[in-house]
Amino acid sequence: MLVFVVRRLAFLALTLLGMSVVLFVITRLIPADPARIAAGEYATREMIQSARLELGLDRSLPEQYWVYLKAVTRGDLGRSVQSRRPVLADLSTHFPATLELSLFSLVLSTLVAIPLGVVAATRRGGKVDHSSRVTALLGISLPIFWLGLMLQLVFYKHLSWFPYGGRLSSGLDAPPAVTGLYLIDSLIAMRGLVFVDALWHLVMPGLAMSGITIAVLSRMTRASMLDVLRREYVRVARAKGLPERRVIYRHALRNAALPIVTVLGIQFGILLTGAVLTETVFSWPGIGRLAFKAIEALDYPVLMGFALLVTFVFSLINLLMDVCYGLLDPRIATR
Amino acid sequence: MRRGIARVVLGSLLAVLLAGVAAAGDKNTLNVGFYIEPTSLDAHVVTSTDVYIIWNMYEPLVALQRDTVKFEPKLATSWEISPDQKTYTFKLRKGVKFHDGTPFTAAAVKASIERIIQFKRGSSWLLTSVKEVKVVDDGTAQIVLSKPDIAFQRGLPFIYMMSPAAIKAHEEAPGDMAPNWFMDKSAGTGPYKIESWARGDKLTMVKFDDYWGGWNKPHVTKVIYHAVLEPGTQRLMVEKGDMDLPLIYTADDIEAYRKNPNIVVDSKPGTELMYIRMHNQAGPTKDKRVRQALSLAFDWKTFGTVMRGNIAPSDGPAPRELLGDWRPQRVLREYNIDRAKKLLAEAGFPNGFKMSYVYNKGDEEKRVMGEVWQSGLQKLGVSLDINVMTWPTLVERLSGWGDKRTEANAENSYGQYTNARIPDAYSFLYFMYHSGASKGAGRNFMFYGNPRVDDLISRAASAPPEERTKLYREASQIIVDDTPDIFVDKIPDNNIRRKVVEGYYHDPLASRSFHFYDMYKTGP
Repeated sequence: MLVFVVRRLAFLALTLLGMSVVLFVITRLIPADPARIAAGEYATREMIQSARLELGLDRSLPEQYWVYLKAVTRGDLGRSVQSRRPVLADLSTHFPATLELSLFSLVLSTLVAIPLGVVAATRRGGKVDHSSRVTALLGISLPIFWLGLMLQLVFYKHLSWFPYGGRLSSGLDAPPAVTGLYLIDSLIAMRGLVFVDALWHLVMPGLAMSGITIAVLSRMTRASMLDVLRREYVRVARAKGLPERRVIYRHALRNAALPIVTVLGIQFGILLTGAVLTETVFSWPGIGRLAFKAIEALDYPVLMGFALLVTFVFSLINLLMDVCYGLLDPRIATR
Repeated sequence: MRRGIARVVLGSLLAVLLAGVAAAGDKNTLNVGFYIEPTSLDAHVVTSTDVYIIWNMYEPLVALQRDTVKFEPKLATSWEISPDQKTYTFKLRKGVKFHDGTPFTAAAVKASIERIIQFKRGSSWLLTSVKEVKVVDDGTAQIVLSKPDIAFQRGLPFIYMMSPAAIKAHEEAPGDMAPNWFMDKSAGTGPYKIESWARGDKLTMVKFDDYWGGWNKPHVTKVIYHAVLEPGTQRLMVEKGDMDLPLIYTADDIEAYRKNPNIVVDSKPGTELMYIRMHNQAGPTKDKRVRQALSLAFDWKTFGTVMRGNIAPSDGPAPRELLGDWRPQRVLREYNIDRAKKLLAEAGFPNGFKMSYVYNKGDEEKRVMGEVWQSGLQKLGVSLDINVMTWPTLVERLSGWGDKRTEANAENSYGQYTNARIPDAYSFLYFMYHSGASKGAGRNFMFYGNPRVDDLISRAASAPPEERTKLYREASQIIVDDTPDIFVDKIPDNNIRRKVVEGYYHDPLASRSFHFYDMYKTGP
């Protein structure tokens, strides 16, 4: 297992390297001059030239890449062309927000989707099965954007149950950053009010984001469970006279878990990187909005940093999934 | 036990709900929606709409009088310009403190101007002719120019004073003038200072207790900018009373706001102009008659309807406010296909041609403008190919033409907004029409060039005020006759605010801008 993990980590480093080359070339191929953007609209030729020198854009492409790579290995991702803030600082303030929201949404989805899928499979053709199909259809087809606005309309405007968005109410200070996740940091700092407030702010964006995950996950659980429930060991378990709950949750679900974990992993990756819409509607200071802003302004260093982070996160999730497979099915680990 | 936990959680939730309600209902706090969230709040780096935020924290020597384009004293109580227009002497206001508690003196003028010049960003284009800043004594500063310069003279309201002590204290390397610290902290003399800025979420500014102007009249004491960048959400917040001043809205939102008795929609024509610009040196539009014909194919009425009347007629190349309330004659605002056909035939294009129009992503009005034009052009046999690109790509594509100058390389037309960057027609006439503004500085992206116009604008830049206006008017009239652009309209400055907000006034130069010190709320 250890060898496996180490090998995968080495492979991850290679993936990142390859990715950085591709990204670097692509961002430089766009026919626009970042120096001009950095210098501002009314910049004189002198101002543009000085920005070009400052950004190192006067050097050749391989040279620029080499400089960049050397800096990255030191943990320096460069500075934003727009704000001139270190990219790492931008990423480390925005990424935890997205991570917290994605984790919350993933937990929420799992809590809803897996029981839903299990019940739909065990009572195939029943009321729950049919309504789960409708739920899945809605979840996958309702645009997040629309769903978000509807949630705001009902639960913020009319019922006043939840805030419009953001991570904390005005007047509350963020807890001292340890993990960057407000739920955890507030507990560390023993600030109950901040914890509740952060949780309160998570509910609506979390719900809006969960639709697709719930849809995919519940369908996958159902299909996988149906497959497993037909197996002979399930019949044996039943024949032994085990209670039905035990048969389903211990024997069937555990064996049906592999494809579910796969879907969970992929969905988590998508949640982490594809939250731009949710983040926009709910004013969530996450990484999706940061990237979107960087694209509009051709902020190369931020884009590179974002893409490298995404590559890293996706690879890491894949690795974790593989480890999970091993835990769930010992045959995979020993292979 | 379980019930106990539930009770605690529910109790906290209730407390949060009540706290939320209390924050929203604060009479002294103004809640504003961002138009665009700034990337930095350094007064010497920001450009464009970000300036309208920082001018509540930093002040210039000379400012614009409320609601006009005239100057009034701010941090300078009086000033004198030498007859050769190269030496400016400022008598400075006494008893002014920076946010860090240090007094404002002539040394701050020197440090601020040098910092702007060193950074080569933001408003440094206004200072290209500054030769020297002299500290005559604590209360007197003198700025010496290498030549008379209109950009400096009229740009003075955008040169903000910063505490030299704070600059020194927060340098990371000797002489770097603290570029990082000032990104999200303030050390100006203005009425508000930054309390906190959680990027992507909220920017909070609070009153500066020692502000020299005092706090005796009604003023808001706290301003919160919310990074809510979705018009629908801003509207929900306004309707609920959680936001007082929304800055992003669609045409639908404006209609809804107008019908809401608790909200005021206050539209005034701004000085921001909208143009369709046609290439002056490549393609069929090289010919003035073609440009005139294409102008006649723009259906103003339809455009007005599509924009729901939310536009005002353009004054031509520059807004009338900056030309002494004057507009050139014969600004084409006519939709006349027959005349257009005649002109096209005269120019040798009786059967029309193909041409391109580009606009930048995000500015939907420019797409609409292109589509309205497209349907008119069809009647002339001219097929208009509309393309969208990001703003930086568009700038590169258009200004890059100057390097190659081939027909194939040219875009034939594009949509453009321009606002008054300084309170002077120079910011339109030079940056849009002077041949020197087609590369680097400026937006003469369609390579209009008329030596007579160049000469008039250059002369105006060093002429005394009345003479200057005369030269500007002459240049404007020639430009209108040359028809490099379709002068589409003036973008109105829509101020949408909750009725409880008082003290707002339109800034003639800056749409969507606020001077918070003058504002207050009559209720929560």
